[in-house]
Amino acid sequence: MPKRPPQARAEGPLSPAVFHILLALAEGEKHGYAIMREAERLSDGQVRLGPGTLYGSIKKLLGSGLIEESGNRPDPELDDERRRYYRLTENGLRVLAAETERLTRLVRVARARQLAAPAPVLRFGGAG
Amino acid sequence: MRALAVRGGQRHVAAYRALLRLYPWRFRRRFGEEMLQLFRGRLHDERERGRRGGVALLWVRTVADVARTAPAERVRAAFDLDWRERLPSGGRSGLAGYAARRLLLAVPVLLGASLLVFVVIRTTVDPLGGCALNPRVSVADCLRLRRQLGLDRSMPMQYLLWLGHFLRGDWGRSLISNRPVLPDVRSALANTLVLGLAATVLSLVVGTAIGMVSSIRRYSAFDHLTTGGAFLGLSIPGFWFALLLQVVVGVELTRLLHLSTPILPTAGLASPGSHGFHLVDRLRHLALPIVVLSVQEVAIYSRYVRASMLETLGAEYLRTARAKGLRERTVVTRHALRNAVVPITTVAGLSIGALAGGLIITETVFQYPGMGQLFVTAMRQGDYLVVLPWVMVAVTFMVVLNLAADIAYALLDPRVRYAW
Repeated sequence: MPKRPPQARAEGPLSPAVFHILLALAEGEKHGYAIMREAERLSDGQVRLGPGTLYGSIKKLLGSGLIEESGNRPDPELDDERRRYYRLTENGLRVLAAETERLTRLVRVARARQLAAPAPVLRFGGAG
Repeated sequence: MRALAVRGGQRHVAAYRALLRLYPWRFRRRFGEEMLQLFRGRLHDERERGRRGGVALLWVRTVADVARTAPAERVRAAFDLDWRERLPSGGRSGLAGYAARRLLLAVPVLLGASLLVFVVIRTTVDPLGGCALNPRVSVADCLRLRRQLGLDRSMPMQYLLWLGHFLRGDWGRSLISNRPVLPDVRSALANTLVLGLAATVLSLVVGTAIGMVSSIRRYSAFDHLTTGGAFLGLSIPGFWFALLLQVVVGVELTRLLHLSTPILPTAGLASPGSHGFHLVDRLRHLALPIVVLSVQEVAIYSRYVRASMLETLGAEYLRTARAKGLRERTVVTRHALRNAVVPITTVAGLSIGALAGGLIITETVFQYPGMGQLFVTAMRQGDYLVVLPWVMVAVTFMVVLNLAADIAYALLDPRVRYAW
């Protein structure tokens, strides 16, 4: 049987851990530790992915074809050879975009109901 | 930077490595090393930051992480839920879709089977055949009765009328006894399930045990004895063996030992005159039918297990298992038997079907009020209103059991999954 490309599974909301992992991988391939650091940075330290959570999600994402293991290493000189790098697949990118779109819509609704700060500009100004 | 992290953290890392044992081994083999590295990295971060209690906090978080994810991975591994993600379709339809398709296919099978049985029974046996022969009943009465029971309608009409009622949950009443069909079928089904299940479990256990021992001690006296026994068991016709047991246990042994009653009852479900349910009495009544049903099954299973075991015992992974220094018992039970039983599931699924045939004969000989006896009685009387629901129930059972065997096969053997 010819292997069909996995379907994008954009219907369901992604779990926070999965969304952060995809987001962290959006700007380039990373190994597990870097994904964790990036997720922490993106969320201002709110999302701390434990090893079990991180690799449990990575296993699922690998299985559903949203990410894949990458063969080449960005910096072979400095690198630990036991590290494995992961990167987004095309499908993963599509799912990430769909989920972002979904969240944006939700945020827009929440803003319209004055539940959140009206515009991101204010937040940067206010936070100082 | 990473070299620094490794130094000084050995005890913590060793502790985390021990914690990793809580994850299923497949998960550990794939991600364990990376998880250790991640932990090392975080440990290094905490030390570099030098916060008070930082490492303790890391441990609290890590233990919480393990406590949350390790059981989840264990469950996934135990029920093998990850096959969904390995499926090319992304697992959307997967096993549930496969099962749904198979069950949907059962609908034409049910209709075809019931139609076939209806045609056979309506063209061969006249339920009111006795009426015309009875000199005390007038011809007019016979015709009236025929009209009342709807037997004067055309055959397709009779079938469609029955089907319409059945689909709406109305199982109707027997043509002959005028008893409602549903409770009769239900109690017959319960009795048959008890008998069939007991015989299946017994023959699986005994057959597997015999097959295992005779494969390990190949060409020993035990092997020759059970091989001969198996061919004898396969060759004995069930009805003859049932009658033989009745004669030997019920008559000859009783006479030989000068008893007033036989050691084991040879007919029925309960002793005459007893009321309610008595476990011991019921088991005594079940004993002979179970033996009759099991003889062939034990013979079949023991042969298949023996052949399947011999094949696995010669496999290279067993040499590896022995070379690893595993005990012979572990090698045989954990490595050989596990792989050997996989083909047995198919055999079991099929032979449960064969058991249904054996049940009809056995129940009739032993006067056991189960599905087999219900079928034989109704068929003989041309009572199609009892036979048709019987067919529906029996065919549904067959379809579900076959499906269950196929699913079990797929769950036991990962290679089967990709074929879907």
